[in-house]
Amino acid sequence: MKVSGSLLRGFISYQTGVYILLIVVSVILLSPLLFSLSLALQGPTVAPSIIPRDLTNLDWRVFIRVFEEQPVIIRWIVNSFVAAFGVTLGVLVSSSLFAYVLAYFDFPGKTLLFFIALGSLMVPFEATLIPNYLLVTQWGWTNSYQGLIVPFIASGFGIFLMRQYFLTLPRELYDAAMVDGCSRFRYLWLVLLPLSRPALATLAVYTFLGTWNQFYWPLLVTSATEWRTTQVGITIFRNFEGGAIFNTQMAATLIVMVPTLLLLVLGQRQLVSGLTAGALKG
Amino acid sequence: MNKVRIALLSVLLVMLAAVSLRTAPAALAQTPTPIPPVPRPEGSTEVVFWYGLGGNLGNVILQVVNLYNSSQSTYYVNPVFQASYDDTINKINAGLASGELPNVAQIFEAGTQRMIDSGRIIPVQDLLARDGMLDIIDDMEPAVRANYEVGGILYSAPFNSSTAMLYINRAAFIEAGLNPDEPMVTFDQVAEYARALTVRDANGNVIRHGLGVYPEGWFLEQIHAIHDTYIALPNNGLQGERVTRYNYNSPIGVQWVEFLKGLVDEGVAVYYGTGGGGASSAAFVNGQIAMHFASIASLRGLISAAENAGAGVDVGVLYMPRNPGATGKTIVGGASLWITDVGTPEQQEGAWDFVKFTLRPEVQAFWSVNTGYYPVVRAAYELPEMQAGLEAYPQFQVAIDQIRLAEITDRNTAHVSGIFVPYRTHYVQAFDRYFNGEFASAQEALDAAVAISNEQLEEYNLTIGG
Repeated sequence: MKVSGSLLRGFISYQTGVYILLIVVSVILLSPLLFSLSLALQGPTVAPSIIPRDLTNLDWRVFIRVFEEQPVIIRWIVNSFVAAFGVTLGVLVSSSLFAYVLAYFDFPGKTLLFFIALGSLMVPFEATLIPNYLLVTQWGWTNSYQGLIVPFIASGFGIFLMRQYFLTLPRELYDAAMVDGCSRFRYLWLVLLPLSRPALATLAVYTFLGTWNQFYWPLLVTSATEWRTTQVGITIFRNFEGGAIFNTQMAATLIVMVPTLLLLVLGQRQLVSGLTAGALKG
Repeated sequence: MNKVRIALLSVLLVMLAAVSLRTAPAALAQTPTPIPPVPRPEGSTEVVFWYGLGGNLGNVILQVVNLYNSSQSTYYVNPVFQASYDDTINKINAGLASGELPNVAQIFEAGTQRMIDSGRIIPVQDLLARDGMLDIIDDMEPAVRANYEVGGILYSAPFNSSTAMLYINRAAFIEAGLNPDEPMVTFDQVAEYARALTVRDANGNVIRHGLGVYPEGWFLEQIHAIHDTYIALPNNGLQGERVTRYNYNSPIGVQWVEFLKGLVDEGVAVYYGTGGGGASSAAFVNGQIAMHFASIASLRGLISAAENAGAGVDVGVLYMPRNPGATGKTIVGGASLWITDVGTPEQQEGAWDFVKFTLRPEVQAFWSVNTGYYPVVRAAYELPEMQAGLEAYPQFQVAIDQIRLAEITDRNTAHVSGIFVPYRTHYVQAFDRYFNGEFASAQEALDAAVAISNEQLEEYNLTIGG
């Protein structure tokens, strides 16, 4: 009795310890968000405090004011979504196809092709920026979704990632499928891609977030307010001359974060099961 | 997993519910009655206007545009925000190759040399001369005009101009027996003030410091101008010849940095680090420091923040400090409107028409009263709304007097350089490293920074092909 009592107590205090630790860690992780919320709610002041001084007098209307000042913010969120989805889809398709070729077929110049794909990783974005920009303007693609999407639909990193992943899958699967008369495309679609969900999920998240967070390219190829993406658009809330006032800036930042957060919350199971599916297969 | 999702969703719901409750907002700084946008009239010519000033000030720019668009129907100005001054000039740099340029652009003075070098500019002075309106130039605030005149030509129309001030807490001054009404102060006086204004508790801990310190290239430029010293040679780049070297390791540059460092070491000033302007203003309005350096354009923000903070801070301003016998004045900083040669002749006419509109006294008065920048034409001061503004903010008169303290010379006018933004970074980094003990003296720190600046300057001049 005594023993089990102390065991129970031990277990409870262990549990409490874990929860306290988790709470502390999550507060640390959430602190930038909480801080933004705190700044947003303190009204237009140059002297906000970390935690609002007067918790009964918070300016919740700031979120409405963001929409009143820039109703176009909804369009910016749509633009960001379309661009990020477009690029992600493009990268998934182009990387899988290219990697499939590299991983499964032999033809002259294959190594060279692979190294060209890898080489594109070594060229920094800044070096291709101006040529890309000139091409896109010449084609009249400024202020358009194709201007935001097309330059990014092939990715050296994606090809590399998918090729390496394909190579870890047993070659025998391919041989067996061929013996059974499976077409090459069908093998890719029905066998290879479902098996590669962890890699595809990783690539998709990486690409989506990378595109969502782009700043300089969207700034360059859009020159009309309604074609901005969120990251470029919300800079309009920033006060930098004549006193730094953060409230609407922080409110706008929180608003444009909500769609990605929702996506993460709703898509988390898919993502996590995708990742563990690979891990369990061993 | 589900629990997490439910928890997150409920947080969102609570937030939404809270929003819908519409809790009464705190007493906020009054915003001007907004001037609504008007739809584009049929058959009007579109004029594209890029600007880089966001936030509350950007809202006032939009109102000026709305005023213009509702005042006539031949042209329609389409304002496009370009994220910041830096991004606006970067976008113009990229646009020079593709031809994607606006008809009018708001560019900060750091971009002056770059804009002239672009070769796509129609100087405002040519257009004023064509329309027989050169008297507008004569009516311009001399310090403001000089800021945008290079080699005797006014390239762009000044728009938002401000200068640096030493903000003080008048209440603390009076309490310490100091005179808050004598704006002209020497370095020694500011040091004395800082000592007198520093308050310690029984244990010797500082409750209030005399002065807030942070590195800022614009203040360094002010100090050089006040002491009739070129910050860049030759002639601050104002005689049509590009500058070839920086001079901010001058005796006055070194004295300025040592002065601030001395006060911090003595414990009567507090150092807020790189980008510490925000921290310093917050401390100022909360009464934790009694003196603070900032632009006059910050005046309204600081006054309303001080009222909200309720720490009894009474905001006043003094001139930037100087050595006894210094005969210069502070420089003006801000941005101006540039007209490009892109688009149809009608668009170029529209661009000019809009810029002309912004130079009208009543528009300048509207702009100044709603923001805290100087009106660029002196006729604006005669208008009743401007006089009412000066009555409400007597501190602003001190700022006007400060830029009129001396005759305009190249020495007390902002310099022009192809590496304006990078040079400020070099200075700020050296300043910060000295305050963190990485250099033995300010001379050493500034020598190192000037060496980097000069290297980059040489590279710029070679690339542009001086």
